[in-house]
Amino acid sequence: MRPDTRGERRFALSLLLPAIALVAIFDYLPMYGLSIAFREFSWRVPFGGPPVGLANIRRLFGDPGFHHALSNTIRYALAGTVGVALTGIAVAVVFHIRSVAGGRPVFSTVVLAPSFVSWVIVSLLLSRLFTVRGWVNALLIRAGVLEQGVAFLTSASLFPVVFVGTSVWKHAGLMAFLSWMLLQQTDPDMRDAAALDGLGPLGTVLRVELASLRPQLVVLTLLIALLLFDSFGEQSLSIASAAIRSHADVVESYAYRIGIQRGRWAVGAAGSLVSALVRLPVVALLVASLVQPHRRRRR
Amino acid sequence: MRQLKLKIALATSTAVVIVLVVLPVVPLLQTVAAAPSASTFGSYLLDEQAVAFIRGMSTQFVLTLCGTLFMGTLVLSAGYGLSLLGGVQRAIVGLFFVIPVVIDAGLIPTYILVRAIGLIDHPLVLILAERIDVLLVLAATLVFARGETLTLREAASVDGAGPLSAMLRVVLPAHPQLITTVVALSALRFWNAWFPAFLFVHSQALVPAQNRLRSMALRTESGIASGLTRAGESVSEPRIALYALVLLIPGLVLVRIFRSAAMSALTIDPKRGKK
Repeated sequence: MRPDTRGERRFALSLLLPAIALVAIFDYLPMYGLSIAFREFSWRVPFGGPPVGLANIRRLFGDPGFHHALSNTIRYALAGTVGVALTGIAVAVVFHIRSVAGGRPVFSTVVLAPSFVSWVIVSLLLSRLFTVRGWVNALLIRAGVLEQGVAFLTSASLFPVVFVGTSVWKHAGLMAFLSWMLLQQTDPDMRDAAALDGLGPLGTVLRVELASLRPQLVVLTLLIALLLFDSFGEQSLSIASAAIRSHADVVESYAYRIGIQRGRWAVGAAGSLVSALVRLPVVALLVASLVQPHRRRRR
Repeated sequence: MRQLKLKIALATSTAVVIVLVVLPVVPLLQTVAAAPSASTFGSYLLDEQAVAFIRGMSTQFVLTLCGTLFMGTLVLSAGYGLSLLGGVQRAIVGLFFVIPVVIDAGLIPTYILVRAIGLIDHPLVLILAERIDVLLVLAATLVFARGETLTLREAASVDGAGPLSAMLRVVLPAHPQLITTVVALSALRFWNAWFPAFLFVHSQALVPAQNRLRSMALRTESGIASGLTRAGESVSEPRIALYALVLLIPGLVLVRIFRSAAMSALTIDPKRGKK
């Protein structure tokens, strides 16, 4: 609704000003700060050193550790996004059938909970589940699958599985909840029509309701991919050890070690720049997904 | 027969989901239960390490309280302000908020900025470094821009209320679920916050409980066995498990509050599937 008076417009802007200031300082200024990747860094003029072209980028790509971090980031993001999306939608379908059939979605809080557990606690849980004397090993030994315990968290072949599995465990609940809220908004008449056509509850959800929500689910999946990119740095720094660095490092944790721990700020900023660029295909797909339905409607 | 198969499949899926979500927490409970004796258990709450953790808990509480107040006010006022703007202005300001969600500057430029403006080891950094939740602002905007809210605002205006009075006395009180959602989510965020303190805080007085738990966990046998740290002065496992539960349980309560409020704020009836 357009404000009727100048006073209302001023009121609206005064409400927005603190948020705008916060975003401008803590989001847009650091975006400008990515230019450090192309400059010589000095604390006297943090964002304004003399330009050095691609020297910092070359130093970054000259480090084999960065190559590991970059490939890990891309692999984990792809696997994590697919895992979270499929698991989340599957759980949402279960929720939805239960709620439509009249059953209470008693476990929605349980499913949402992992999304809101801190990474500190998640790393504690992992250390109790996946160490040599942890629960997972005890279960596998008892089941006869293993003869002795395996160090999942320091194994080169198993750590990526644990990393991606943890991402799925943590974020699938949020995907499930949001997908379920979308499913709840589908037209009940569509459901009735599908039932008349002989489709059961599962068929209705899979072939009618989910199909009608495809654009929204694509947008949700892409947002989840961005969320995963955001959380990888925290995840890696909280659950990974030095022993498994080549498989545990992602671009943000690499940037942290190089920049904050070793003081190579410009190279670290170059790492942050590459991290931002890696997200660009996801951002482009997101924009395309948002724009496409509008174009179809106009036709 | 088909209905029965579906019911069995649903029940099995539900059980599998609950087990997969809850199972990781069971070792924590088992470890707490394995505490050597009641007196040892008592010492986990009274000795020197406990004092340090309790100090961290008070920091975490204050951070959660102040952070929730700050972020909640910011989100609700920004959402309301955005709902007052016209189509083009709303799109421009909305885009301004959304761009940083998709284009993240990353760790190093943010750290350099925080250090350059003197916020390292400052209490404010723990709140300001948790950036504003833009998606929550947009959700609040959607709720405030609904027809019913516009009607309320117009009615308040006809009765002589100014814009601020209309917002504080009419519109906001009419959206308790939205306020609860914003408060619950903000509280969760600050209750679980550890990364800003990890990056920007060195002073022990400002270290919240999450970070204290993390440094204790690195000194347990599991922490050493998982390769997170070399052996040092160890901290007993039951103590860590107890502290982890102390941090986990309030978070779970907040999740429950958030879930109920979020569903009500969007007025979704889970039984009927109607909006």
